[in-house]
This record gives sequence, structure tokens and C-alpha cells, in this order.
Amino acid sequence: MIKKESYIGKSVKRKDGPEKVTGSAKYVGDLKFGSMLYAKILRSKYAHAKIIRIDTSKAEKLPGVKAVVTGKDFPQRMGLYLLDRTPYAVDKVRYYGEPVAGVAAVSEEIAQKAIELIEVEYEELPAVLDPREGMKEGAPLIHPDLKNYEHVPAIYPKPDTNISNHFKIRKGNVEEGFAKSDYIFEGEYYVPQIQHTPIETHTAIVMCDSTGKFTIWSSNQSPNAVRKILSHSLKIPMTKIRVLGPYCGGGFGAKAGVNIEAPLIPLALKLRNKPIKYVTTREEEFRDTFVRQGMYAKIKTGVTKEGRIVAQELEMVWDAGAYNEYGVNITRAAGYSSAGVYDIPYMKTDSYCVYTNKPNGGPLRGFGMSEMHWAIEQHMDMIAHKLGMDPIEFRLKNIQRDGSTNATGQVLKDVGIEKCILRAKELIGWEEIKGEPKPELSSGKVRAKGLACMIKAPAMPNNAASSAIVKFNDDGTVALLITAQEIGQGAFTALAQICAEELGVPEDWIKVSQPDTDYTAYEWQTVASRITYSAGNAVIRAARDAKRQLLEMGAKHFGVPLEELDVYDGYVYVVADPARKIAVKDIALGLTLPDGSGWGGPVIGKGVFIPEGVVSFDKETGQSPKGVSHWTYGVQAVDIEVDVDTGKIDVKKVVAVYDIGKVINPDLAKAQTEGGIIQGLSTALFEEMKFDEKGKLLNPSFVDYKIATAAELPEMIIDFIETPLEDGPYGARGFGEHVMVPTAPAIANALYNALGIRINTLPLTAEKVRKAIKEKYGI
Amino acid sequence: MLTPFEYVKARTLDEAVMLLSGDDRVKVMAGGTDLIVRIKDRLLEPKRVVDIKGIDGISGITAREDGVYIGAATTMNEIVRNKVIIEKFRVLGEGAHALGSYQIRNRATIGGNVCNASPLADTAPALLVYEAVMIAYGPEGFREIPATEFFVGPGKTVLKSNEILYQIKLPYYQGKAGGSYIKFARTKAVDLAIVGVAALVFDNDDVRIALGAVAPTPIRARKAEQFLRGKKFDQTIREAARIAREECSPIDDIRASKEYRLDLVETLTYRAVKQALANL
Repeated sequence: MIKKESYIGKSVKRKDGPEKVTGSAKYVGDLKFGSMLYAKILRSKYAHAKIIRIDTSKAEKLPGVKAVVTGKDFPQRMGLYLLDRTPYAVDKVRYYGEPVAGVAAVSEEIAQKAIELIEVEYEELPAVLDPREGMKEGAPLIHPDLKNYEHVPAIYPKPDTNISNHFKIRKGNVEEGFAKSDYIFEGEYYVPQIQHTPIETHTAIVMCDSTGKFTIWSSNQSPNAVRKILSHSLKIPMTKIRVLGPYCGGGFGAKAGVNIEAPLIPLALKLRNKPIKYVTTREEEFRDTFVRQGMYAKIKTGVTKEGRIVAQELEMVWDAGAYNEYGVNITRAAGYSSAGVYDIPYMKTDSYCVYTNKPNGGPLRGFGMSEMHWAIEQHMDMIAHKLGMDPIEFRLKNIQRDGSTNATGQVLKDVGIEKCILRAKELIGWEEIKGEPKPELSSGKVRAKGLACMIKAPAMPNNAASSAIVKFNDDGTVALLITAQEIGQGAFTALAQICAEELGVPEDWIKVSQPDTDYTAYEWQTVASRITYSAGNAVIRAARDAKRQLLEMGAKHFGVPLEELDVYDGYVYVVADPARKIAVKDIALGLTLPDGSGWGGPVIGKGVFIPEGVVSFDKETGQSPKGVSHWTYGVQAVDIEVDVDTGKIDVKKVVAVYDIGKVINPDLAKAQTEGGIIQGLSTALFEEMKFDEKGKLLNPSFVDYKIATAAELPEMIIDFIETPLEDGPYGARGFGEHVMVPTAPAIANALYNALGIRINTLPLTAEKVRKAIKEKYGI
Repeated sequence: MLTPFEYVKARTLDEAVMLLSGDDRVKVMAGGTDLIVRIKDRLLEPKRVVDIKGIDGISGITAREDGVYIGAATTMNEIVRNKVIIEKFRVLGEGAHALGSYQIRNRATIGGNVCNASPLADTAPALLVYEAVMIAYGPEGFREIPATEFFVGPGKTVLKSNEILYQIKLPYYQGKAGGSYIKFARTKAVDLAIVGVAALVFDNDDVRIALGAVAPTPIRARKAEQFLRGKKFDQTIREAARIAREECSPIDDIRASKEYRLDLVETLTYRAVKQALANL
């Protein structure tokens, strides 16, 4: 018998590592073509205004300018879930920064000069900057034509309002639940709009050739979605659009769906055979790409004297910005996840996606979950303290377990949250906390611990599909053709490990392709922490298909039944007699029989995956026996020190424990978690987009939009629980986004445990904390 | 994207002054970490940029009989690493170290930091407490300006448009001194000061305190200094910190409110003086 070594659970080195550290990796910004043109975009200086007149004549006359376009040149609306967005504003602008006109010129400098020569006359309209005002009757309508917009069936826009989606949960009669409760606790929480801040700003090159075929090189998470959306709006077949994805310098959701590609399309239509490049400036990146939606939450919770949650009523009002083509699904995801990790018999949730005259809300790492858990997880701690219970004890009484139902009425199984909580409790060294803290203020520093849980499912259409092609080369090495994107999360490495494991060839024989929609296998999008899970399953099936073909040739070669053969380390061998073996390279392109004739052919395996049995939520109740592919649970516990006199929070230690089903690559899983913790910490303490009363973003740069630096890094202790997922590859669950979700509420809970102050609005700036200390203690 | 401008590297002080020609649209460049960003943001559209890094004596740190001379184009990292600075003028070393990131400190110069005249300049409070002398050069030759008189308002110094800062002299002081610079910002690195406080205490009981980011220019908290002279006990330091609070006039901005800055002045003045005493 051959002792096989598994690639699963092994810290294989990153496939993209050497290219990236040596500078060999190519990003879209690195690409240059002959006769390339450069685009610049003129952007609105009003949050909401009618466009009375645009005069582009001076710009058009500037030497070096090749094309000028405005909204009239391409008025088709596009979008992923709700088609509400045009590449350039048509008739009116809906946020400060919206594209109004575009220029392509022989240099960036000339394009910029041309932009400044365009005259636009506006008539200012009243702006909606607060979604709570925007959802009221009589508020200025941002999209008066909303009722005519195309959308997917799973979202519910309200005609003649600013509500682009209203997702409802009605689980039992919540009033009945409150009647059965001994205590009712209410709370309000808020998160501002924030930015993804990828290192590489959005960059694209678009070319339309003489036959009308588009080629798009883009720093993007969703090549297939880009192709689909553009094909629909251009009304051309998908064979006429090719999307390539070189390396992507960070996405975090900002590069999902169509982004900066869209404004280049009308320019490309006017200029055949000219690649047009657009590199988003950092200022534009902050304001004019997707941002994380703001959200106002109101929670009312009914509990018994014994500390059992009976009922929860939750209203979430999302500050979704000017275009909600993607944001509508964030609202939906938060809605169906609104039980958090808890087993709550009676629930009522209303999640409203509301148009505002602000930057476009879109997906940001774990979308909906960070925002919602900021509210729920603080609220749970608050209730525990009010009941005089330890926050962990209270949670253990109420968490979901096998057999519990969630918000959508789904009966859960393989629930690992209890194990996560207990492990985190142990790793942080939790000591019982009951009632209001009595801090010793005289030393100037107060230290305390806090904890928060989280849950998340991939937020995607029920039928979001993955596929993979495994193609052998002459020498036995393998091309794995997929359209998943490597956005830093390690997808290429994990998928290569899976492929090697299944094929029985060394991992370094696997070359993972970069997306090219003309040739690589379909992938819905690289979002939702779904690649290892969904594409991973497709790769397993493709590899097994290819392996079966190798075995068939082996069976023919050795004259033994296929079942008696296996593949390992690049050889097909007879299991009972491993000395009888043939190198994969000798059969990769077909078998040569003893008489010299050929048999079979080049080995190509294919695999596809769609999560099965995902059933749509009921429109009125949000109920579904299985509304999502799977859930992943996690916990973070933090240890913080607060400087009483300045209000500054120093996060000393973060413990993260996630039940990810199966750890495919321990080093990468750990690194992904560290990154999530840092991003979570950054949003907890620093990040906020600030606007003036006219809707202009005040901090579109790293000078005044701060993100955590290396100096802020806490000690991080990371551990994983492995409760296998029935249809996960080797049991693996998605978790790439989940790792930033509970950091902020855990810090907020620790702040309460330190000083008895609760700050309901993100971020927890030193100034806010100091103010709260002053108010509470008068010092 | 940079708006095009003429770039000239001066080889001598006279050449630099000639190139400046008293025109406001000619800008001096040393490290460029502020200037180039401003040109990119189009806050400045100079027609000419005069690079002064090549001028003899304008970079480097020299200890002489009457003090330490720092060339205006000396980088922050050179200052941070310099032995004399570490031993004798640690507050300046701490200020230089608090600025930007390591990469920025490889480029950014002390001359640029002070001529930029931001009220929050990290090296300014140190220069105020060491009573540095700014040595400028113009058509009339050299001119010495006390650091305490150098700053006029946000972005404004007493330098004329045909003068450049050549060197900064840190005069030696009598006896022993302990100093400290405390910068309070949102993040622990790569951020602008919300408040910066420098304190310098001498074994002869003299005290100097300077505040950054809380007035139109970096300032000395002279009343607090006077109050503390000869009585540096915990309670009097607290009282001095309260006095310092009254000596400044901060504004609300995106980084902090006026009220919070005032609180910070009090807290940080107390801490800086305590730390300075500990370093004595």
C-alpha cells in the first residue's frame, strides 16, 4: 500500500506569492498597449440636481481629445439585482461625485484639461441625506421611475418611494412573543458609510474592436457578472464581450459587479480599436466606487426572567446611496440573518434599503453582517447586564443549536457556535462579569474584556453556480481553468490544493488560470466567501472526472478493473501492487497501446456546482426551509485598555474562533483571519465617511479617513472548530468575510465592561469615548 | 497627476535666491512630501520649483561651539538617528520620529516641516522649547530669526518670498535638561497631530512648554511655564496644565472638536511635564 499524504489541512505556500513579492505579478495598471487612450470623468458638484445643459464643445475642440460622452450617449440602466444605474447621469445627478461626462484623450493630462472645459448648468434639488427622512412620505424622490426598473424577483422595491427593497421576517406573532416576555429591552444603533480602501484603486481598460467586440481588462471580482450585465445593456451576445482579470489588488466587495468599466463603454463605442484606460484616483475611490452602506437599527427584545429570549422586533434602515443595484441584496441578507446566532421563537424584522443622495452603497466584506451584528451583539450584552447575567452565560442560554430555528424558520443542524464561544472564553481567559462595572479610574487606564458572536451565509442568488475545467498538459502538469479571482484571500492556493488532492498529482503541478471569460469556466462572482465552498466543489468534481479518465486508461493499460487502480504522486498504479504504475505524463494526452496504436485522448475534466435545495424566501414572511446554502458561525473576544483621560481605546488582544468546517490551509486561514480582525478593528475605532450638509464627502483621502496602521495591531490568537458541512468540500464552510464582523461589537462590549459606557454609533473614536466618560464620571 | 512646472535644482544659496526671484508662484522644494501632494491636489500651481537639496551645507547636522546646526534639508530620519540630538535635544528627535511614516521620514525635511508652517508641525514645538534660531538667506545675506518669532499664521512664516531657510541652530543650554514630546493623533502612526505638546525642564528649575495644533501657530504656553517655575510638584503640574489650556485657541475641524482639544492640552501638558521630569 502507498501511504498517501494529503494536501488538505496543509499549509501549502501561496501560488501567487513569488509573483507578487518579486513584482512579476501584473495588475491592470501595469498594462500598456499601442494607441492607448486615457479617460477622465467629470463628476457632479451637487448631491441632487437637474442637469439643465451640458456644453462639451470646447472639450471636443481641444487637440488630443478623441471622444467626449455624456449620459445621453448611453442611457441604458444596468445593475446586478436592480437595474437603476447608468454609466453617466441622465437628466439629473443623484450624488456629489456622480459621472456627468467622460473624455478619452491621448494623455491623462489632456483628458483632465478637457474635463475642465465642459460646462454644466444645474438646477439644485433638495437632497435626501438621512434615509429615515428619505423613507417618509413626501420626501424628495431620488428615482421617480423606480416602478419601471427591471429587477430580480427576490427584491421588492416600493413604487413612488425611496425604498428600493423591503425585506420582511414574520416568524410567529411577535406581539404574542412580547406578551409572553417578562422584560422588554429596546435599543438603537448606527453605523456610518465607510470605504473599502483597497491598495489598488479601481482600474480598467476597455476596447471595442472593428467588429464590435469588447475586450475588458479589469481589476474586478466578477468577470462573468460584468459580461452578463454589459451584454444585457449593450444588447449584444456574450461572444462579443471578453472580460479578463489580471491580479486584483484588493477587492473587499468594492470590485464586485460592474464598476469603473461602465463609463468606459460609451467612449469605446465611439472609438474603435482604441484601448481606453481609466485609473481611479484615490479621491474617486473613496467616493465614487462602492461604499459600505450606513444603517440605523432599532431593536426591541422580549426576554423571560430566566434570561431566555422570546421575541425580537428589528427595524433596519439602510443608507444605501444614490444607486442600489447591489445594495438591495445587502438589505435582504441582513433581513434573513436577523436572528444572529440566537434561537428566537417570535420575530419581526423590517429591513429597508433606502435611496439617499450619497455615494453608492455596495458590498463590503460580510455585507450586512458587520452592520447588523454591531446592533444585535451590543444589544445582547446590554440585556445580559440588565438581567445581572454574565454576557457569555446569557448567550449560552440563547444560542442556536441543532434543531433550533433561525429567523427564516429553517431547522438548523451541525451548529458549532457553542464550541466557538467556549473555546474563545478559554483563550481570552474570561472571568465572570455581572452587572455594571466599577472601574478604578485613578490609575488613568482601565482594562476589560468583551465578546461578540456572528453568523453569516453566502449572500447570493439561490442558483449561483461555479464550474471548473481540469486540463492536462503533455508533461502531466495541469491547467485548472476557473474564473474565480485571486483577491488576496488565497483562492488559487486552496483550489490548487483541492485539485492536487483529487487528481493525485503534486500540488506544484497545478497552474491556476486567471479569469478570461472567453476561455475559463463560469464563476458567478468572487464574493460572499463562496469560492472555497462553491468553486472548491466544482474543482473536486472536475478533478474526479479527469482522474476517472486517467484510471480508464490505466485499466486498459494494465488490464485490470478501474476500481483496482488509483493515482498518486503523478502515477496511475495498481493498488494491490504499487510497483505496477504508469506516469500520468505518459497518458495525459492519451494511451499508447502495445501495438503502437492510440487510445483515449487528452484528459480534460469538468465539474460544476450549484448549492442544491436553496428555496426562495416567502415575500410576506421571509420564511424558507433552507434559504441559503450554509451558515458559518464565529466568535471574537477582545481585551482592551482605555485611557480614561483621552478616551483612546488600545486593543491589546483579540481571540477569534470560527467553525469553518474544515481548515484547507492553516496558514492562509490564519492570515485571512488576522486581516479580518485588523479590518474589523479599524472600522471599530476609526472609519467613517463624513459629509457636509450638502452631501459632499469631507474626507476622501487617507489624511482624514484613517485606517488602522501596523502600530495598532493587537496580539491575535486564532483557532478553528471543524464541524463538517454536509456539502462543503471536505466539510469546509466559507469564512473569508466573517472574520471582520464581530470585532467592532466585541470592542464596544469590552468598553462597557471597562467603564459602564455604551456608545451605539461607530466608530468608537477617542473623542466620543472621552465625552462619554466625562458625562458619566464628571472627570 | 502633476500640473507641469519648471524644475530647477539650485547649487548655491545665491542661485536659489535668484531663482526664487521674489515670485509667489515659485516654490522651494526639499523633501517634497508636502509640496508635491499639494501640487497633485492642485492646491498649489507653481510655475517653478526650486530644489534646494544640492546646496552646500543645507543637509546634515553639525555640532559647533555655540550649538548644533541642522541643515534645512536634513531629513527626519537623519535627525532621529543623530547622536547629539538623542543626547542633548531628545524632544526634537521625538518630534521628528512622530512625523508620518518611516518612508516619509526618509524624504521629509525639517526645513520643509517648519516652512510649511502648519500649526500641527511635529518638529515645531521642540524648536520652540529649545529656543532654536532659524538662519535664513536672502538677497541681503544671512538673517537670524528666533523660532518663537518664525511662525505667523497657518501656512505663514516671516520668510520673504525671496528668502530660504538655510539652517536651524539649537543653542546649547546650561546644566541638565529633561524633555518630552507627546503627540496625540487618531492612529499611533502616519497621522496628523490633534494636539502636540513639548515640555522641557531644567535642573535649574526653568520650564518650557510648547503646544501644537491648538492655535494659528505652534505656541509657547508661557503662563503655565511661569506658574511652574521653581515648583514642579504633581499638584502644581496639574494646575499648570489647566493654565496651558487657557493659553490656546484651538478650532473645530474634521479631526477633533475645540472642546476635546482643550481637554487634551490639559491632559497632555501634565503628562509631558511629568515625562520630562522623569527624563531629567
